[in-house]
Amino acid sequence: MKERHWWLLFIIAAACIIVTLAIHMFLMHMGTVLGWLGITVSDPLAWESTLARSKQIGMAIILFVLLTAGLFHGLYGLRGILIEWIKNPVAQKAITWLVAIFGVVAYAWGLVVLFGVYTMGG
Amino acid sequence: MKAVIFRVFRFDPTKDEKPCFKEYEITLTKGMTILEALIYIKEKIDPTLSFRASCRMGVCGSCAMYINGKPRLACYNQVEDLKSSVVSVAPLPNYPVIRDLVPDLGSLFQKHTHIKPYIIRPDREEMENPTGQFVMTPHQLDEFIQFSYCIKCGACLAACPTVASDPAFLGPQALAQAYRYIADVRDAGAEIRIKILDTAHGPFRCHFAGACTDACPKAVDPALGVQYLKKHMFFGRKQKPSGVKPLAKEHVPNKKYPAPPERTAK
Amino acid sequence: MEKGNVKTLPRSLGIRGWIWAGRYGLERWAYLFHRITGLALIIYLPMHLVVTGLRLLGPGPWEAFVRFSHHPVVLFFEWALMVAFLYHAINGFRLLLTELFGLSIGKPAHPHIPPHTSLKRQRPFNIVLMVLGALFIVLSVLDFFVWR
Repeated sequence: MKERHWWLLFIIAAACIIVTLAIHMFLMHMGTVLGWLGITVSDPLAWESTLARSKQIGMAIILFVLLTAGLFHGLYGLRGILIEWIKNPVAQKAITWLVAIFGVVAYAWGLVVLFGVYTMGG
Repeated sequence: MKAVIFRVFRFDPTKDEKPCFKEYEITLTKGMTILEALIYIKEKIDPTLSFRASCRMGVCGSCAMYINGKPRLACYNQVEDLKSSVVSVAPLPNYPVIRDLVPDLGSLFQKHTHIKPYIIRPDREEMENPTGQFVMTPHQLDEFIQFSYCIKCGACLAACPTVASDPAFLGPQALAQAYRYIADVRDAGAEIRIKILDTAHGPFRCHFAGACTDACPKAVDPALGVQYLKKHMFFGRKQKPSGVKPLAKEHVPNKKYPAPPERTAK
Repeated sequence: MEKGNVKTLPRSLGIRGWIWAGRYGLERWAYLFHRITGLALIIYLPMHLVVTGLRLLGPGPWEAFVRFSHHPVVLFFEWALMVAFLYHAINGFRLLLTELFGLSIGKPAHPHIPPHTSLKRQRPFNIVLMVLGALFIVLSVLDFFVWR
């Protein structure tokens, strides 16, 4: 995979995030604005509310896309900033690998949470 | 006429450990450029001041300096247009300083050479001994001509925020020139150049801050070139309208060329 | 630094070169804020993944966290994050269109003095998006602090 392929994935992830994160942010925090659009969400942070939402397949898919795209986009951007900052070429390769490994670990954790809450009883 | 204070960056590697700013007071004449003020300082006040200048008319690119917080050509800007009673003159940032206002532009030229700034074609024999002309329509010329106006002054790399921290980044000048050759209908080296560019320090470390375009004295607009280069790396057509197909490898002839003629002037 | 037998003085702006956008145009400042908001978001994300993972432990720990998040300082930081997302998304949308598709920056042409640069051509598009962003930020201020 060449650099330009990673960058293209980065851009595609950005497009996905604009949509999914907007939905997520608005659901969580912008209740009044959602009300104007006809969507009522009462107390999105309460236990019952968040559980009910997380068990809907639509929401789960949106959060899955957000997790994948968000981690990739953010970590690729962070890696870009770090390799601009740190000059040693060996260190740059090491940073790319470290960021990738961190991304895989964070992704695994995110999937565990996503799946865990989706299949949670109650 | 108005008097203006020039705060000039001074650094003598044989004597100084650290640079300093020296102040000179200049009485402006009408239409005086910053270069004229520097020449006046050198001739009448402080002959030890060093700077590069040549054409004094904005075509050679020698006198690019960091003037009042922006890279500019000293000969191309009048002191009055800066609208300031203090003019700060420093060497271009993001290059090492040799002395006073003279930067070491080696990195600029090395990055430029790296992207192969020449027409690459398969028909070398035709290029060496042409039997006809390479036809190019005015529309095809318009696709790259503005980038060929680059005078290699180095202002764009001085302005770029990525070049500021990343010495391996190719920089707006090299990237815009790479696009100039990729967009040229006569050139078959697009694939060869894309291989060179497709690295972690190629065009993808450009984030369209546009400072290079702001700084460019010749309206080359390198930022436009870099964005079109990125677009080309995904959507670029492979074959040129002139029928030239991209080369996978640059053809380097193994025939020996005759030695250049003897110099007659000794 | 030695080069041949000439000693040169290093003069890279470094990270200062990112931060001080000085006398350059609007887009140079846009780049700076895009970078700051991006860093804020990627630093926040792992923390968010850990915190939302609390739900696996049941309603107790989760509700404790929710009570904590109602604290005004935490609410302020959540709002700041919302602003960071709004800015990063809207500016990012502009960058997506200009960098990948070359929209709004015009085509190469013969140079013109004064220059018709790509920055000047995409400036109206930039301004429209900034106004849209400001509108959303105002809405977010209202929704976070006034209409709670």
